[in-house]
Amino acid sequence: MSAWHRYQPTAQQPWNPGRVVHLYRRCIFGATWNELQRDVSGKPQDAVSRVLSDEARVDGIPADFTRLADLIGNAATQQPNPERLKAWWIYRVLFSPAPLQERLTFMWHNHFATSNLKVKSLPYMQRQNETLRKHATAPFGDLLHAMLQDPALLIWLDAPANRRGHANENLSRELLELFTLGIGNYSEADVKHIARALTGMTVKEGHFHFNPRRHDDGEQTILGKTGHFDADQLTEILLHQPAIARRLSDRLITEFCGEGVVNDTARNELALQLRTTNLDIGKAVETILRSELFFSDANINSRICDPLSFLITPLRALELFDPPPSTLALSEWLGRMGLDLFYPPNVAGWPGGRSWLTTRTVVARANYATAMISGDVYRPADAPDLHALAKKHSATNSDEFEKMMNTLLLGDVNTKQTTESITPAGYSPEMNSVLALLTGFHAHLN
Amino acid sequence: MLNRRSFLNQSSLLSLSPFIPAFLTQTAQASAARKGDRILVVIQLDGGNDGLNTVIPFADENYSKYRDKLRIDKKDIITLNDSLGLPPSMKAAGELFDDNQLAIIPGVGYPNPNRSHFRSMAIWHSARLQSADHTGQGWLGRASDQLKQPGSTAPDAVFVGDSAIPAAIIGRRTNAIALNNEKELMLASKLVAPDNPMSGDDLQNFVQSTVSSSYVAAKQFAASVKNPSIDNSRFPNYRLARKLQLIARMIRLDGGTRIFYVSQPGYDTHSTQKNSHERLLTEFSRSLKAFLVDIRQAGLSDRILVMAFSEFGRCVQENASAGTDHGTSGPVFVAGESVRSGILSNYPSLVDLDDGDLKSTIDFRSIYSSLLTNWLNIDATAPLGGNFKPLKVVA
Repeated sequence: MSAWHRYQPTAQQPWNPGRVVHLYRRCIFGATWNELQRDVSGKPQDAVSRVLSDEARVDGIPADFTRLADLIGNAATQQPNPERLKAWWIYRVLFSPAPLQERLTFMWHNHFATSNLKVKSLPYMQRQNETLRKHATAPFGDLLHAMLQDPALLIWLDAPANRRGHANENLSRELLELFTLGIGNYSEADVKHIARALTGMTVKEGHFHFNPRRHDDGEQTILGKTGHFDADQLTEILLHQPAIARRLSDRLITEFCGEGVVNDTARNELALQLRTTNLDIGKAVETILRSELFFSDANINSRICDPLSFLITPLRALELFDPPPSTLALSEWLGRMGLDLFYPPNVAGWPGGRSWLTTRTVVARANYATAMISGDVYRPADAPDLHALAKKHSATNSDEFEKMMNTLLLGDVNTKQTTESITPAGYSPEMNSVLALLTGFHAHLN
Repeated sequence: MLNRRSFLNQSSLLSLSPFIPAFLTQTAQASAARKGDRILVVIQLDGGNDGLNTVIPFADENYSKYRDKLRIDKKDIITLNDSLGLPPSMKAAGELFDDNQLAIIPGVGYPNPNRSHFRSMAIWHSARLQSADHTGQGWLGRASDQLKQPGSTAPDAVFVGDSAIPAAIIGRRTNAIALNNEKELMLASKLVAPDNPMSGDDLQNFVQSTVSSSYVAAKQFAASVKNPSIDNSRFPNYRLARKLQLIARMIRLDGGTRIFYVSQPGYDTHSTQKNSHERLLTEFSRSLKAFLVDIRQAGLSDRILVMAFSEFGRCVQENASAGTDHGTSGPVFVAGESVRSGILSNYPSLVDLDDGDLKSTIDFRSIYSSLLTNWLNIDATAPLGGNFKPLKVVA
């Protein structure tokens, strides 16, 4: 019996709104009331299928999403304005019919963490983002090959400075340590030899360029294999190392499972699946999302909600996307919450988990919730009518309103105490209860 | 005097929730255990400060010769010894000097000085001379990599300002953040910390205590902003002072950050320099002094050292538009109660010039080396990419 056997509802672990909300909050930035009702009344594996096949999100998707997204993205790179490029991605996360792809694009942005602080080119950063999205669920080799020809990554890791006789080990080291094998699975000699194998790779007129005159075509010994390697051959060697599957397995588990939820047996099993499926990321994600482990009580609210989820999930749940909020304003809030898209703090990316929460970011989250309730994420400010939303979905009295908001925003956690202990002034009791839900401690877990 | 702990003991905030006291007691203990942790604050004087009119070799007749329009009258100079002095705009810095809280290090530079703002700043940030080694990481970022405490969620380095985070504080693993203003640390709604009992679940307890302490910290911070008697500070109304005041408040909150960074723009004074330079140095000196007074009142003087630098000095000869052009070496200041106060290096000769510029008498990495080794107590080799004999700046 696999550690990742499929979830079937039981009396102890029933298919209920809490589990549907868990699926949505963890994977695709929340659900609207209609999406939630549709899935609660259906079968769990069908709900997962919808998430995996980009059919889960139906509300608020603009008919001309692709055209609008391209328009915003092109304007950002032509100006050029990094704030607009961040807003472009946030627009995609908020409105894309394929939100799981956006979730994984963010995961890869954190894996191949590249900062425009050094790259200083929005077109390169946008192109990298598109590459991450294109290969988000592909076999990892496709993504790795693409990234080793990605101008933004090459500049970020000093590839153009790495040439025959003048090794720059930056790309080589991070390729081993961060992108593929992880510390402990290679030697310093491997770093040096791989750096030599990667010589000659550069960026010319905005595109990947291989300069044979700068390439060191001497013999290298890499992870026990000796030969005259180029980047492609080197990548093949790395892709066949057992450690890469384990590293990717850990990356996916961190993304989709909570702290301490997955034991070593399950980790190893997922790594083994990755090895035997040509490191197929999509299949591994499916294994996780379909599993009993994913829907177990232990895995619900067991992870620090990342800033992107914290930003987008309530907007979708409360249907605050029509008319659209200012994605530029949302981007500012995201930065205050510690997530400056396209500007990861360093090559290891955002450390995530508990490090998302500091005094500054907790205050930013609380203030964001206040801004959202007050309508300050719209320009000009426009307070949302949550009563109209409740009424539309037949929650007419205040008890029904509270229950509905509690379910929509947090699943079915018991937040009674939290609600009572938060007493902001100046709003109706109903608004207070929504603000309490958005700023209480359960809001920081998903 | 009201330090953090006495504030917590006296504060009515404690009555906000039955959950708070136990938690804050824990925090107070935690911060006591961390009390030895030293903090470095860096002030970057952007644009190339004219060192000759900052630390003035008034006894040298060449000074008057080279500086016709920009000369500071001898009678106005605040004398530091029989040959050097500060301009009157730096009265506050002079007071710090007299109070043994200021080290002045003239003639700081590096070999083959580069007169480009960008390149020279990259050299100071990275502590590397070759542009190929300007990889976006800096000496304090690398230092933070070494200082990193496992499990800490505090930012390793905080930049206060609205421009991009300077490369100096970016490392391979550090978490450097930028903070624009104090509103970012204050709650917009009157939220009360959740008072759920501790559940026994480690993650839930973490979230609950972090959220609670953040809300309390935000209120404490807001109270200190509204009520000057709480932090008892007298900060002058300068942009640099406001930034340093924000840093002082963050230090009082004791979030665990060890590196703070701030810049004062405007030193690119190519023409009619006199008034603007005077204004800049007044802002710098008064802001610095206010910060150190505030830190002393908080009882935190033994934990704070401030370094101020500029990417280069200016040409010795003033130019035809009563300004100065890009030069080479300049003075660095290190301030705080733990500093070895005084003038710590030789003043460059005004006769033996390097193509019209002051030759440096000391490498900037000697100062970095001391700050890393003797102040932050870490091995300076990796941050500096080599061994540099530390200039003793810590008393």
